[in-house]
Amino acid sequence: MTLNPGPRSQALSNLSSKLRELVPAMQALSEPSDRNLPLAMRQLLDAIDRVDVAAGDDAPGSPRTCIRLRREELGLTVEQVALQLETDPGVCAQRRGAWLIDIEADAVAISDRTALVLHDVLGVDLRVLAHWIAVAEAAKHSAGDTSIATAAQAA
Amino acid sequence: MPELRQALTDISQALNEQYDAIVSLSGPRDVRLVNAARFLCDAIDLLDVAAQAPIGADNDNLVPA
Repeated sequence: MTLNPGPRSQALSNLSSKLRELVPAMQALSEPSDRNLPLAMRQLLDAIDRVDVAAGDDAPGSPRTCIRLRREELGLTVEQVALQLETDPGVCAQRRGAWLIDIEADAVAISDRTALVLHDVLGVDLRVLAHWIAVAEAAKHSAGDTSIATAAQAA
Repeated sequence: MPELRQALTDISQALNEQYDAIVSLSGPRDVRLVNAARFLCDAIDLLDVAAQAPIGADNDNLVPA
């Protein structure tokens, strides 16, 4: 799986492209004596910047979005995916579903084994999952550093 | 010059369509898109003024009729 943008993000990117297509047309019509067209151009470029930033904000940026989007792409519900998952120790499908919901809500960090299972069942790109495993690990180490610093201050 | 006016009007209409698209995608708290719509609205206003300006006129020297 690649990091496909969501429908809103895609719509904003398309919108930005259409706005960009108008820039050369405006430039071609602008003459040195014009005052309004250069100002209009500046406003248009500012608008494009805002749309681009908004489109970037909506791009998938977490396990939640990339796993959920992939599941929705396949037209599967959480329950249907849960039925295909295997856990160790084995638990009922309802608990597996709850675990998947936690993963999609970013409430549970993804382990190496979970990444492999999600790759097998949903076809989620392992590189994407590896990235998020590394992010979770870094956050864990960072939290550990903070608690060490707090303990040192307390001492 | 009518071609220039028509070209400016066409661009203005195209921007108006994108303005509507931005408004349809933005929520009340979506500050970036609200700002984008505001900038686009200003651009449209300026284009419309340019399209309606008397041919060959220097707008700074216009006086009320």
